[in-house]
Amino acid sequence: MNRRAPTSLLSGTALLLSVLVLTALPSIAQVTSDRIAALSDYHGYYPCMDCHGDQETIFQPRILAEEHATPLEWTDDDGGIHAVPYGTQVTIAELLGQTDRHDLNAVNRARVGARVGIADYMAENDLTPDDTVWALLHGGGNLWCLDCHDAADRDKLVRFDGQPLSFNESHLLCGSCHGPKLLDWERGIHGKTVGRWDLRGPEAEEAVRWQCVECHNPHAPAFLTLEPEAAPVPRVGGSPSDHGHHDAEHEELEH
Amino acid sequence: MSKSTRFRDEDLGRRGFLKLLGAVSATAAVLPDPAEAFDLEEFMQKHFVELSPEQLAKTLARLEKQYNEKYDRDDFSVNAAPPLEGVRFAYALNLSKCIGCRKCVGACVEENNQHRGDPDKGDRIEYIRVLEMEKGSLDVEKSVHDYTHEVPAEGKYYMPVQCHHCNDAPCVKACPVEATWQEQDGIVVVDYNWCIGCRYCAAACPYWARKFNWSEPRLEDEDIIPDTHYLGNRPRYKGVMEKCTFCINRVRQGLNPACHDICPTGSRKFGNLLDPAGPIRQIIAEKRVFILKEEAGTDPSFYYFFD
Amino acid sequence: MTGLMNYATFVLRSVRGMFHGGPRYLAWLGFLAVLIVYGIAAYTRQAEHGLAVTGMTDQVSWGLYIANFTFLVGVAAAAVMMVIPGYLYHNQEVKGGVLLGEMVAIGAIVMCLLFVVADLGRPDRFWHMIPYIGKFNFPVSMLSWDVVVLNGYLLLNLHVPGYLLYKKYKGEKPAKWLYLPFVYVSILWAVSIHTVTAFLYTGLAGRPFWNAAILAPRFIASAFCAGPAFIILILEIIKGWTKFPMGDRIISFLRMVVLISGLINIFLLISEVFTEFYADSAHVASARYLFFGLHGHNALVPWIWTAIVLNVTALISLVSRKFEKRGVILRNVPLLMLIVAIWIEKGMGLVFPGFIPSPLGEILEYSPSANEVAVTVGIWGVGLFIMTVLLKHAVDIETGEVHPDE
Repeated sequence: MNRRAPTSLLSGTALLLSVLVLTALPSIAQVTSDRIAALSDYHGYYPCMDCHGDQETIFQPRILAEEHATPLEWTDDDGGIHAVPYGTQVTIAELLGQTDRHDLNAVNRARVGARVGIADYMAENDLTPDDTVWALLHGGGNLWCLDCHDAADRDKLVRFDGQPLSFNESHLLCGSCHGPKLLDWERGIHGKTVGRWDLRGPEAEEAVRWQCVECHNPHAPAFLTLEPEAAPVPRVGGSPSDHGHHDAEHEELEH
Repeated sequence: MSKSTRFRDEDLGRRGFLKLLGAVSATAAVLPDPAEAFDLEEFMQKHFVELSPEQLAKTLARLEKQYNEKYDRDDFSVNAAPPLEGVRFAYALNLSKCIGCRKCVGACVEENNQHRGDPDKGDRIEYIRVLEMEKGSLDVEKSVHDYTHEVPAEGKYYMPVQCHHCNDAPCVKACPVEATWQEQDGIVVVDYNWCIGCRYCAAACPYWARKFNWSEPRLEDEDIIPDTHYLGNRPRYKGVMEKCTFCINRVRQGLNPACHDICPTGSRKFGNLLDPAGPIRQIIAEKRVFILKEEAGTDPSFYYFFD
Repeated sequence: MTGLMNYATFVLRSVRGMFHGGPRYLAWLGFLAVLIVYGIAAYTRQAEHGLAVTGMTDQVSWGLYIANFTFLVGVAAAAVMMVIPGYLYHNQEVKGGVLLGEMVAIGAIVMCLLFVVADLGRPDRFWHMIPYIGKFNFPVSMLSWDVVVLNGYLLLNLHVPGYLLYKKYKGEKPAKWLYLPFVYVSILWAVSIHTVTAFLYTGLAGRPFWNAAILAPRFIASAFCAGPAFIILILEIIKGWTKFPMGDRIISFLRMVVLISGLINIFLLISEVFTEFYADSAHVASARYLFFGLHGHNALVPWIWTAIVLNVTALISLVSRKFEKRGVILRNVPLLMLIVAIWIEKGMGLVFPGFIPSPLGEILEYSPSANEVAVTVGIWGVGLFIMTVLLKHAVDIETGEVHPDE
């Protein structure tokens, strides 16, 4: 054996390993590079939604979402209140002004504030600051489509570590950030479980636990206000309230 | 007969008696005809807990017949399902999640065949009252009940209150005829055919949970739920008390109360307190739970928590 | 058999005597009969439509009926104020008047029972309260205690004067063992009826305005103020318009009782007000509503202050003996003021504020409906009617107007 053998063996192994790494797991590499590229280019606005504007196609009726009428509001540094219409359409101007809407840490704020690539995006598409784009109101401007949706397989969701998830396991995805809430949900403390309290016996199937996305819109999770049902009406003393029978002589005693 | 007391010639004693007779006749003239036929069996019916199985079956059949006649239907059923073994019901309400939408109030009214009130006023009987509370305070005196603005409002949180089904219930102690008592599964019930309507229980309740039928309950045909429980949502009568029964008709079949299932935010949690894996025990173990007006010492089955 | 026949004759003659008298007497009975008919008509309306014809609500679920009930229990209890000196201290002068006090007590107790029945949602289910036949929640429910003590007191007050008057009618000396033990029992029993009624309120932890130890002593103090005042007014009428033998000492004695009880009542009021308002805790809400109004609601404020002014003024005039020597009006108006003041205290000052605010902080004020007032007036008519005829009966026997054949 001459002295050059171990060196060549080492370099050969290294080459083999690099090839294996680079080729044996292409999808992860592709997704990762895509996500990194996407993040740096498009952070803060989401061209996916130029086509996928309607995010409501697959979910159960959102009890609260149905009654949303007034737009979400955010306040700028000077105390001015701005409205962000529900449905995640914002003007570019509003999007750029949205930097401090949520409690972002310094790193995120910098990334969001940078709005890297938006000038190019505007130039490419011939847009002005008054034109609208799609904004994701989840995570304070931190998240975008491909953070949850698998870029390679659109029928899957993807977790922060690249683990693909089916849409039926979406709670695991939510729980990867909202851990305590997931634990509560699994214990039946958080969220909605309808049908049965009694989970013994075969009828337990009737009990339905609502998925995260059945109440929370992952694209714009904040709940808006709604109008309550009718206020209680006190029984006004002095008149018999049966079958609409009124007695005029007692009307004067109403409060 | 010999003379006894000496009367004056005018004999005003007889006049006085005649006056009384006139007054009595006048009274008889204003008395109304009895609205419903007098039912001796109903009048003599014993207390629910004292009915033998045969008497109970007869009573339920009689009630079904009466309800069908009264409401012109043919599908009323009144059951008397007993408490389930090994079950003690409890309720937990998440005050961080309640938005005060009052959907629970409406669902309860619909489930329980409740008096809908005067059609012009809408003063129906409601077992649940939602309080709009000031953030930073637990003082119900500062609460607002008749808010109509959009919810949830800034600086407020919402606390629905209903019967707490107390284990040391002051209403049970107060009732002079034992028309209200706590069943084995923790539900405090009322025998509507035994209650005399004295309203002492209403005075005793620290949670203002007990409601009285001040008049004949108004129940339109489209509002009627025909599957009822003797101690729960069967139609009530004028002059008796009623209150939340944890939807006894549903929970004894393993279902959730109506208010629980309708809540859009999932603030309401219901289950068996004796089940360590059930939601209530989990909540008590994991969350910061408190009891409303705990100082009243009634040991309720209703908990509130924040999370 | 003869005994029974004699008793039957006694009853018949007594009843005949009750409806026989001067024009003023019969006019009074006629007036009361009209009130009774008015009340019965109103009650039938209530029986038909339910208690919705009253002003009561789920927020204020007890009203005028229970307020009057609470006041009248006190009046009934006050009969004992004459029993104590009459029988315990063998004050002969007072003894004669005791019978009259007991007649007042009977009328008052009957009114109490009628007010409770009028307040019930289902009076047809009254039999549910009979032990063993129904289901009587004794001894846990304070209402069950009230049923026992009120009916017991009624029986005591029917027996003692009934027996004594029958013996007087026959001209025989009554046997001590047949009435004296009952008399002593009635002394304790009178205190108990009002204490039990107070406990009805104080035992409720959910009503902080009532859940105070001071309630029972205040009940006794105000009962022994208003009750004897009421009795004095009756005695004045009997003294002035009948030949019933009565001295002055009994009225002086009762006036002293009224004064001392009234002063104690004021002291207890001061104690209550200080305790409520000094700490200004959440529990003061009902008291604040009563004395000063709460969140713009102040319907009771004029009532309670009127009551306090009447109370204090009446007591000041009672302190002065000069008033006693003056004419009938001047010496009795303070008593009437006290009766009215304590009636307001028991009703507006105790029952209604206990419900406002509700346990959930809601304020819904109460005012009685016309129908409710009519039933109340009718029941007062019944009570005063019973008192009148029984007093007439007592007067008849004592003066010999009704007597057996020689």
